[in-house]
Amino acid sequence: MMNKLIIGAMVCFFVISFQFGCKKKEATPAIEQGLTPYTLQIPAGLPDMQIPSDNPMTVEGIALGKQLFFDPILSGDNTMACASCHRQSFSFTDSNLQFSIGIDHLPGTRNAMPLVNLGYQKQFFWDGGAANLESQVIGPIQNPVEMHETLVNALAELNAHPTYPALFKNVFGGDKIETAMVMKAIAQFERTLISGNSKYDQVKLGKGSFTPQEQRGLNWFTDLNKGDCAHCHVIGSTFSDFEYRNTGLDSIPVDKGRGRISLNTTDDGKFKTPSLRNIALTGPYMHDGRFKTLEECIQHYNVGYKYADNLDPNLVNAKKGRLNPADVQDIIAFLNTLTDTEFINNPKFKK
Amino acid sequence: MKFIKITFMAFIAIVSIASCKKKKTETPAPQLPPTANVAIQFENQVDGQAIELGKMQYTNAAGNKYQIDLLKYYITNVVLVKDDNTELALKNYDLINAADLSTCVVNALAVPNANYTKIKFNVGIPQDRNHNGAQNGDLDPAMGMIWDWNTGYVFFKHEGKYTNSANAVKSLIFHYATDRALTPIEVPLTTALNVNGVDKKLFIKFNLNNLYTTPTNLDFNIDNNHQSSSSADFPWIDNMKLSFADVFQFDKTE
Repeated sequence: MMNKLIIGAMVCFFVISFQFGCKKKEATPAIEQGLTPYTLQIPAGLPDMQIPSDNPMTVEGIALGKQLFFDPILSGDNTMACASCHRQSFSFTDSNLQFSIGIDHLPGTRNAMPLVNLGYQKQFFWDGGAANLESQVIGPIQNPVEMHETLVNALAELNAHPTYPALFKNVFGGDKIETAMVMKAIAQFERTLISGNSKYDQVKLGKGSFTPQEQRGLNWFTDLNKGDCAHCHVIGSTFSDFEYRNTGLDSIPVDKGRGRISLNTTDDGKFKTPSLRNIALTGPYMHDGRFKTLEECIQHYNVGYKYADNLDPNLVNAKKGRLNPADVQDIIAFLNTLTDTEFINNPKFKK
Repeated sequence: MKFIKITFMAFIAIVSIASCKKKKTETPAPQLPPTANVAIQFENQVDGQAIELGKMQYTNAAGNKYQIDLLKYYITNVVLVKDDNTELALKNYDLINAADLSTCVVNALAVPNANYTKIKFNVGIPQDRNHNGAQNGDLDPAMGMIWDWNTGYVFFKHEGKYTNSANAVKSLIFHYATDRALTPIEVPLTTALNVNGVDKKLFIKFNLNNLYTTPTNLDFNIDNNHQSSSSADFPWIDNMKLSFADVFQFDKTE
């Protein structure tokens, strides 16, 4: 009996330690001891945000990510931070520049994207080339026309820094700062950049009402025979389906867009549908910032789009000139209701 | 009191008998542990020539002179196959850098004693780990093997130069990548790896020249820059995948 008990206990012990060993190997990092778990405050009307299981959010992780976001240490000559081209007052785009200028004073080829409600997106960059928010982080750091830094260098600087090693150790454990930690910390901060208190949201919650012009704009926005915007800029929460489409900017695309990622020529010239939240603040527009105003954008979809083999079916079927100038102004009035002034002034997102 | 004494003596007697019995059945030699570590050593070379960076000293099957400035590849998910066809899977992700011998080894720890007759592994990163940059060890993006504009690892890199038909030195870039390129390899161990409680080494040869021979010999004058970044590279990727079949060969065990 006693023997059986002892053997039983030993078996249990081995099974437990074996399982523990396995778990440890397949590293789903639990939150380090002493950290404060952070629960995102999702505004009413927005869906829940899925947080990746290997990067749980903590107050300390977000604070570290924010510090890195504003720190030029991640650029080649320590002059540029993420925040240099992603500025809060412009919904985290780069002021009104068509192309941001990197540390070597060279322009890029695409318009800096806004950083809003990123946790709802599955892929990042205009072409979706970054498979997740964490993986996006190393793009701008290494891009020669952006921050132009090597990861080896950036890690060496962080590891030699007077305060970063302790901060990283506190959040992620380990004795050395590794790339994945930098990626995870910045992604944690970026997931907190949530906008959901625009006039549109307030009207939805019954705390305000649209002007007649804004209401007409909303009607044209969803009307299949007028704006037909909501096919892709899904009405309600994210204002995007985050799919890739050729919207007829060029018959022969200069930039392959999604095709460069999928390596499928039928995706050439396709780009991700951007969210329209704070759209009045994020001009110029399109992946290459070719349109300065919202009016130019809407007129592109009204009359300007060009034929391409893979032109989006919604545009193939649309009738050119279906909006008159007053309709365009109405849609712009509606789009202005998506501006969230609380978001662009939120002190939590400031340096 | 007497009872206790007798019981105690009986106990001693039983214990000593038991230990005697045990001693008799034990082999006198010290027993070997049930497992051992195996260091799987990758010997990088070009038709028997050692890898030296920056020297125009190699000749491919098409007769092109070439040099190697960088030679790196991922060996992942090594499986050791026993003579009874059962398998030991390592779940490893190792980056081999031909210029740094310390990286040219995959360590298999606590391998159970048995005869192993085959080794299997991938060149490349399986799909479930290929599209996330926030990983550590040899998958750390700082190793310089992941694309930052299209999340995915480069499975194999050969960068260097070749001497063209006009005798000019031109650059050579082969970056073998995308899920399509994941290459399963099987190498029969013509002399079985006998793990018997003592640490062993298994030597596997990697011959770069065998990579540029399928289906026909690759002429660097024509094929000298493939970076797996457009569908135009798919035929090259498919040929490389076939070529890899005879790049790795069993050398010896120690």
